[in-house]
Amino acid sequence: MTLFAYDMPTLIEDYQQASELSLKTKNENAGNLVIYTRDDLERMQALTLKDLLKTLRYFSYSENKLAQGDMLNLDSFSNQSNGIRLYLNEHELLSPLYGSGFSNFGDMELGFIDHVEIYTGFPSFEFGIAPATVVIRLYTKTAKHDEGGKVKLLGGTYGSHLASAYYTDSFDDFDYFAYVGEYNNDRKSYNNDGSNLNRDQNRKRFYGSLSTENHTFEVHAVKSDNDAFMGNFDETHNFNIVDNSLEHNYISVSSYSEFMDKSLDLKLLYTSQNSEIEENLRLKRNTAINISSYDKTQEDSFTASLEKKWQLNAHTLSLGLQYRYKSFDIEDGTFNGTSTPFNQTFDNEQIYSIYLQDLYQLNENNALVFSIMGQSYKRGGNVDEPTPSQLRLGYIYTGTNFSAKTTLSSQEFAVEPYMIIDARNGNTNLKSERYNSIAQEFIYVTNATINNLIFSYARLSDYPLITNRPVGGTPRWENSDEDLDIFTSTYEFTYLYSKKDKLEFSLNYSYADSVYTQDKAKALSSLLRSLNTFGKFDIFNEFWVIDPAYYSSIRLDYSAGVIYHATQDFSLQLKGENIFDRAQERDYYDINNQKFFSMSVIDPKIWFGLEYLF
Amino acid sequence: MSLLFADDVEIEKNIYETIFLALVKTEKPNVYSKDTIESLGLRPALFTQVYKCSQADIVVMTKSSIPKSCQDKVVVGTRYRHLRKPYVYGAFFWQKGRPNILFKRTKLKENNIVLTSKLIDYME
Repeated sequence: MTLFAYDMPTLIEDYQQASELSLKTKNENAGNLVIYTRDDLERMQALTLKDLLKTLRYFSYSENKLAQGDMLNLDSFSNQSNGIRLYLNEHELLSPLYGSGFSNFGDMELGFIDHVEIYTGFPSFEFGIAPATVVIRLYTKTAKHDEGGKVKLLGGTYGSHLASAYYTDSFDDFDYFAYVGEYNNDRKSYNNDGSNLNRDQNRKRFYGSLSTENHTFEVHAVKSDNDAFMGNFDETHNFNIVDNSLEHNYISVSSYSEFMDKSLDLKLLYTSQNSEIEENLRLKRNTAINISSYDKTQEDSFTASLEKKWQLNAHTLSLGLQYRYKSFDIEDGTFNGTSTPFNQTFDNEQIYSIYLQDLYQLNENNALVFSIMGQSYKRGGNVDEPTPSQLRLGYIYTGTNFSAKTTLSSQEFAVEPYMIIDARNGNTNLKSERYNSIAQEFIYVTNATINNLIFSYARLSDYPLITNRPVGGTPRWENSDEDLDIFTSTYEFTYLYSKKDKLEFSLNYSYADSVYTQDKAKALSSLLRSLNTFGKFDIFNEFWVIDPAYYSSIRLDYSAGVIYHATQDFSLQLKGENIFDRAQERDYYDINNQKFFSMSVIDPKIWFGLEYLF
Repeated sequence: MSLLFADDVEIEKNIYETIFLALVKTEKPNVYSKDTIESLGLRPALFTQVYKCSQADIVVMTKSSIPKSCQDKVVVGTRYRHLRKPYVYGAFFWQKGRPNILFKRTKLKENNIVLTSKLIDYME
């Protein structure tokens, strides 16, 4: 090749694209991975995590009765997404009371996020020490790639708006990044038999980081003021919801340090958060009688993790140790102005975790991975102290075009504190939930296509659910008597038919025992998404069809968007979500009238706005 | 067209090669970097990687400064801020989420370096 055979503009364009796509083919050993690159997020105009999770294989984004993210939940009454773990860079977005922080971060804004990795199935421990069936990792933008700033302003239907800005730069050998944003998501309201069911959200967020080559210090703060939708009073007969609110404040401070040529890392994380829920109701028969209720929860945590890697011939060994302290205080509530004492069975727990993982590269194409983890929970009070364990065995074949991954796993999920100490539904005798699974993924890559075929089978034992046993008793958390079998399959196809044009298709089918009826629940879903660039225009189209296992009939979510790049640094954007207003709904039970009624999870909405880079 | 098999590290090496050969006349220049840059270690055909600054024709700068003894070499930065250093000739860096190349006009003029027409657009 002669010296200047390279055409520099083409080389730079190819380099940018190859840097993006290199993410798509990495982490072969980690688990079954869905990745959204920065280019995907930008061209899809993904505003929040919900925009990605609504089309996830097997599961799709859903919400609980407080209008919080709750994707694994099979009913609208309880909160059950503790198997979904979210990480912002190296640190977990957790809730000490609920385990996972999914309810508060499941639809967080993505304005400061560079790319998102979603591991379905039980991933390698290096992607999260907490036991999980879905791991979502969000990676923030950095000064290394994004020196400069960005302002984004959007307005949307129902009076929604978003304003955000970030700036990142470096001085000496320090990089810094600062993001501020306000997201006001006014949503479709409902009135059911006289109750006002509102779900408007207002969220202010700050994220800042300061880093050197081996050390990163981060601060993340969120203040949310939301409508509490249906609130906690679904079991009260004969009352109408007048209004209710849910306030959540969160702050985390964390550090991540690498030593010994990056083979040893230390993570420290402190989080503090509180939630306040206020509900106002009115007696249906006598509108002069009002009821008000107020509850507050304080949660704090500290986590220290140490991980070391060794390379011994064909073995890559990883050892991880983690200590986590969590405290949670459900303060005395107020009911009609009168204090209602809440006696917790315990108010803190300490979790000691250790894992060992061996990635054994048998030869150039074949590798085995073996992972084992043990945990010990220390809880005050007369409460069970579980010692759950996790096992994972994987075989990975990696060829030029063809790869295959087989994963066998056995997991135990300790009961999260809210299932024990909850005044209404808590149960101190709940056993850990057990989850055994086998997953097989085949990947075939050609010059312009990626084909993924995945099958998995899982058996859940001692699944916790809210039930009233004996019949007529107070509903509370109980372990399911029956094991639940779940079979899932998916085929995904990505076709990059030019440098800037992409078509994605998926077909997903799952077949599972129903937790409540022991019936078989079948779910079918399919995605068709295209991302195109014509000159200065980026075009996005997405069809998501779902025939859900529970609730609702077949639903279609069509979303589309266009970005006009007036200059390299200034763009205008328009996006329509759920344009036909036929997207996924969730059924809720109206106890007063003993019937189900449906409400949208994804609202029909139009967003319009601009972005300016400086 | 091979979209999925395009290797970003290989392309990065090609970009560095183009920059190096635009800045020095030596047929196969010696290149030094204090920190590991994966693409520079990728079987380079058009330059030689050396492990001492004193042996280098070109120094690729990864930190905010380099030792005085290296400052008389042809220095290429990897961050936009490196361009502020008087001894830097140009830089290959990311900014606003996009890869960029920028050569310093004054520095090239001082050293009688003339860029080819294909690279002239990358002069500040």
